[in-house]
Amino acid sequence: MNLKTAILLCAAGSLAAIGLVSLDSTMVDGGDPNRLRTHAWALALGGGLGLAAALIDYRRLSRHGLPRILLGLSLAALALVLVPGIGEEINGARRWFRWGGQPSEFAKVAVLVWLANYAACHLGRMSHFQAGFVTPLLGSGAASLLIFVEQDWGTALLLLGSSVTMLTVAGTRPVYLGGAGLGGLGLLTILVRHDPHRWARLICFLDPERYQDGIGAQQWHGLLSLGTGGLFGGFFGSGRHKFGFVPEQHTDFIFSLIGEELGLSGTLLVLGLFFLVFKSGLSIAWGAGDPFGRFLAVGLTSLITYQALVNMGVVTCLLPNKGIPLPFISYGSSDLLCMCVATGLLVSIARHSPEPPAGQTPPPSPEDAAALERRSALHALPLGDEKRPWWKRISLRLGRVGARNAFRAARSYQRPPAPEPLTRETC
Amino acid sequence: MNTTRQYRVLALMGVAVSVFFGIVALRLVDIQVWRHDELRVKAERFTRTRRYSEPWRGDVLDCRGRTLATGLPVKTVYADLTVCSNRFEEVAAVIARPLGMTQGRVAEVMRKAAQGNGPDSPRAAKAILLQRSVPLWIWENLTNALAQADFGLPSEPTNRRQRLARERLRRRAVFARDDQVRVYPLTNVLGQVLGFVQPGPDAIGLKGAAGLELSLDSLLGGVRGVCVSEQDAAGRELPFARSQWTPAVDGSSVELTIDAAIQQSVERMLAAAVLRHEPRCASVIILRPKTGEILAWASSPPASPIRPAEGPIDIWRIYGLSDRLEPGSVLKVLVVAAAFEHGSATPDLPYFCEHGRMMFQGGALRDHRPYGTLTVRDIIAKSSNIGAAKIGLGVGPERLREVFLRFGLGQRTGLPLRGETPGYLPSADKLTRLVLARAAIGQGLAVSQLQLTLAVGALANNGRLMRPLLVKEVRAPDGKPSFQASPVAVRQAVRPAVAQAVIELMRGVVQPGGTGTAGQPRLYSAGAKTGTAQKANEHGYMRGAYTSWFVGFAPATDPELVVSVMFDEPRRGYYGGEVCAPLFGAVVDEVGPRLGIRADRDTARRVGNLASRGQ
Repeated sequence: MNLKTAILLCAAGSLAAIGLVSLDSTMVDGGDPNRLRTHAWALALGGGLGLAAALIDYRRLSRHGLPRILLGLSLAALALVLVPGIGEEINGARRWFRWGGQPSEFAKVAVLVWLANYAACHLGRMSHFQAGFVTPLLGSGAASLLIFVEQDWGTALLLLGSSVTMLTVAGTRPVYLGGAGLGGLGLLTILVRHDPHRWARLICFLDPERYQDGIGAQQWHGLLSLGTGGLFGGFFGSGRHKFGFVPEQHTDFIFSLIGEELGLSGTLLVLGLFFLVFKSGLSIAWGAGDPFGRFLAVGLTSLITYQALVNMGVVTCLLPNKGIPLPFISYGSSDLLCMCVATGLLVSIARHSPEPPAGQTPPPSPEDAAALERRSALHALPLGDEKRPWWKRISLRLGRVGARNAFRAARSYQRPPAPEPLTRETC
Repeated sequence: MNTTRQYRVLALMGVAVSVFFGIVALRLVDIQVWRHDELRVKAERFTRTRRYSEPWRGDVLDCRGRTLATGLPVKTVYADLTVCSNRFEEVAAVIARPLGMTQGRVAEVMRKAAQGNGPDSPRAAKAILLQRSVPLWIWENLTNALAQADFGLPSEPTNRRQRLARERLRRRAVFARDDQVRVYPLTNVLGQVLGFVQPGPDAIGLKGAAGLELSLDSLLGGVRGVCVSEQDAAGRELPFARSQWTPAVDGSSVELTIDAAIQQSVERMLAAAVLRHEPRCASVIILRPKTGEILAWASSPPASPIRPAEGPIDIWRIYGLSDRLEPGSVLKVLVVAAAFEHGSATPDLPYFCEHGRMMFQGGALRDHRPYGTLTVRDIIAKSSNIGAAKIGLGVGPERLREVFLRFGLGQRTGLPLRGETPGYLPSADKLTRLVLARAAIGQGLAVSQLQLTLAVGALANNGRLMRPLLVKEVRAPDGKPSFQASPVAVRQAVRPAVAQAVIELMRGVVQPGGTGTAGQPRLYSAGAKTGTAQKANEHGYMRGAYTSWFVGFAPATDPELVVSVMFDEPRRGYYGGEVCAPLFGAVVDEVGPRLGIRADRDTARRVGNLASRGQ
């Protein structure tokens, strides 16, 4: 086990522990008294599933047509949940099986596995319109559409976002994705703008205080809850907004409870832990041995990260209110299982990434490479080189702009010993 | 496909997502540090509660322990819209009849309150006021009706959900808060002095609005209890977060010096006299000269504390306390007392009364009947203005003013009631000879009836001015007295011998030849002074508007009672000796035996005789 795996596991484990304690703190709100036990069992089950996922070779997932089977199964489950009698409707959303479980959570992982496999198989044709854009989007789009129909807009958009990230990494032209994204956004805006009620629901996050008696109540009280916490909050159990002020504070708005009870220190800790998950997930993708692993790692990391960011964005009123749980922390067995399996798969990918040959110094890490590059750029290149445009000269002098360094790091790390010239054909 | 591009995109994604992490972190700092105070205050508006518990208002008793005002426990009934939500009609059908409202009205109240909350509101109003002052037995009927109602649900619920819904409606749709209403068992006895109460703030509890209920509000009302705590979204208190809890302290009971039985009979007599003479307002004050205790204080027109809103608010003025009136001839006794005190006159000193008309300083002084030479004794008995003016001029302005002040004129008496007038006494530099002559016959200065009664009471008490007492005892809720009044002498107004001499003169007023013979009680010897003051407005004295006075005491040898009768602008008759005097005699005859005062005349102590009008 290497460092990034350890960091990933520690961060995820800490988040799950915080989640368990926070959930215990919400138990006083008079809801389901078995909630904490259910969550603990789900966590244990998730740990088992994650361990299993970590132990198997992730490359097995790409064999025997397994990805297609997974996609088919998830689509079938998503369709089944819409059938009355099998699915159950709660709060106007039809996304649960009557005997528990959300197929959309399972579908998230399955669709990403299928998409990663597809991209890896069609690596050479990913820049084509048909093979690199239409077909993969048909697969993940079908799942998203079904989730959309189940009134789970947040999850649908999240799945689409992860898919798009993965496809961008895999080589689909950003023009296609960007165009489709803009078109979809425009269409959505027109659809929502048409209905003033929905529009108000969408934009009420900008001023939740104005809508505090109606559609903005949850976000407004979440905001009050966060703000009450201050720097250090009270302590575990000191929250007051869990007594019915913030609806669903044990699921989607648990971040506000953490903010109230632990203050800024708690929220920044959670944010930092998610950043560690993201960072280690990205390193795993970076060091993955094959394209399938890389794409899968990208997809899973972005899934976890986006979900966390969107949830925290909703609670802090940066985004419109959509029911999205906070990974590892929120109450909700399906989501917890999904996140555990995703983490397990990431560990599996890390375990099976190529080790640097023994006796050799390992290749410099991206950070080191970036530092080297920056130093060489600052010292070796003539700063006043007239061939460079003025903005490049300035950025070189500054030398610390993150994007630039990251680019350089990426290039230096993967640059082959004998650099082949970049041509249009090889791209 | 080369991998370089993949890594570039990966790195780009890393940077972009890091930026989003940074945004969230900044936003968290914004919310939790920069806006912390603002949001905390706004949050406390929801989470913190301050609940008050109302104390029980103390009783008002008379000097013999009879209840003049007390409280009756009632309920204030509310509907909980969060529970009733979509079953307004059904709930209204159950509760309307016990509450004495129509079903439509109840449903309308609930519907209006629900609409006011906005269609999107997740939190319906907790408490909608349905009915105030609901008696306990009606509330019992109401809860019984609720406990058996089905609210349109099947009477035999088939599943758990239906049963729970029914139970919820039965138990929580309607609730009540304890409250009290003020009860005055003797209805409008002592109306103005008792005053009345109004609902307190937040429509719970009582608050004094006039009379003793207002001025003794801090004693009667007790102390509101407060509970500072936090609550959940449904408004239930979080007991562990309670930060302050002070229970309510019930109000004290107040025992007055008023005797309800005497008060009641005096009010009846006054009402009868008012029917005869039709004054604008009238008032009778009875006090014990030796202690200053006020035994009865009747006012007419009467005010009823039961329905204070009926009639003009003006009738809540206590006429004997708030009205500034010219004392007229009654003041002559104080002038004579001043003359005796300073030795400028003796009871048998003769004064020439100018045959009823005297030009003085450009004005005319008149007597109601022409007199020649009169002694001081006769000046008082016949109420000669000219004689009194001459006596006053003999005393001199400073001395006269000083004696008036010593008798308490021009100062508030300190009774625990609001709106007392200090009266008006011209300052020394304004006392020219003309003003002095007019002041000696009670013109150009103003008193309240209470002041005048106390001044005559001082004469009847060997010249010792007593502080008036209205509150005899204050009892804490546990029954222990926290205050007991004792008689307080304000000062010795004149020497006892002077007071005795003036009392002797005043006896002449009710004896044959005096102006107040109609006021002679049958059972008691008495002394008194009549007064008839022409009323003034800004243009001068008005024609046909008089204040009629009769202030006296009984028994004459050892005064136990001082009774003052004031009729303001009587429409039939105006002389004090004609309008007020009969009431004085009747009151003394009625009240004296009730107080166990020995009769010293026996003109009426016969049984079995036939009484006729001529007798």
